Amino acid sequence: MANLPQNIITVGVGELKITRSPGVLKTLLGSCIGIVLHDPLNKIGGLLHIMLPKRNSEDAKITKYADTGLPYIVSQMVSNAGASRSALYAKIFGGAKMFETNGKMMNIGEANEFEVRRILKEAGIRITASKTGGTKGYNIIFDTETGKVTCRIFGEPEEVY
Amino acid sequence: MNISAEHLKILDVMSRLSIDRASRALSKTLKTGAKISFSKCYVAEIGAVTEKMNESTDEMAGVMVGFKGNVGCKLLFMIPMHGVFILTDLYLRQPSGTTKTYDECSESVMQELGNVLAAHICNSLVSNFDATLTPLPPVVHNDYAGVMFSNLIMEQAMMDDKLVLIDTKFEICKTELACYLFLVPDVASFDKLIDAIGVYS
Repeated sequence: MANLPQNIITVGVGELKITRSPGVLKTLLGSCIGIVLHDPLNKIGGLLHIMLPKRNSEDAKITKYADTGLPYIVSQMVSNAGASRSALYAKIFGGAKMFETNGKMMNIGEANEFEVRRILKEAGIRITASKTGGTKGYNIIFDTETGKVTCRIFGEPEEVY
Repeated sequence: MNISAEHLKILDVMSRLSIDRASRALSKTLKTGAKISFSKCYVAEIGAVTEKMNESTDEMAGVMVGFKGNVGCKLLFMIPMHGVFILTDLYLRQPSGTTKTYDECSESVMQELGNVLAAHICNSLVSNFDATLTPLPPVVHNDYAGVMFSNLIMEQAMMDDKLVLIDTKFEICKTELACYLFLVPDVASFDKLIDAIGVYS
């Protein structure tokens, strides 16, 4: 990825990071889903790395789950970072089927994607690009200046969304 | 995550004994030293540890092994892709540089190294601490380091925001190769083992 600024922020599993231009957010995804939210007017971007579709305990970290993490990222971007709610659009990545130690395929990725799409639709946030599924990991780099996401699936060429 | 400092210390000793045994077995298998250059047992916050892993986009080959029995544990042995060629040549007693592509042969070598490590970790826990466990067949992966690591901890991460991680780095003598071994014990089952050897919190 050419001419990227140096301030790259990495996002871990079940984490949320929000930054503004010239910030760049990156993460790696397996069965998890990475949801990129961008406000092109104010050049503010957020990246949420969810692991499961629904929160299973009151004590659990809210950003780990689609049903609690997505409303949280929207409220944080609008209330704290100053993003415009009506300008927000989303891009989603990941949700691969990954191997478990017993050799079976873990298919949590599909359920994650379904829940993410459902919640974004309910919230009225457009999904302008997505790349999901497969059996290999995703490396995504999100430029908050342009809203472009560079995605490279392991073993495949880089693509820009 | 509810684990006392004493239990963590005991778990650290248990893991050091097992990993030491595994490293000696690896040295014998490869006919060169596999020196432990780093080993730490600690409680890790999942978000923070995966953030660190996700900083690197290194492409790795890894082998993951689960264990069946009264002690729950998972293992991931991971090396950079070019390291597979080095280990394949060492394992097959070939001149260095013979293996040039990743194929069924190098995948089998990775699987066998996973077997060797898992078997010796198992043996140590069984003979020293009265555990009853057997390793499941190893599963070989090629992917980004962070993705393989997330896959390893997925089950624990579904239940908790923290986990106990045994993090080890080996250096293979006469090469520039560094190998990474992660063990994720199921703390609840290790508590039973610790109690069984007469240590009570």
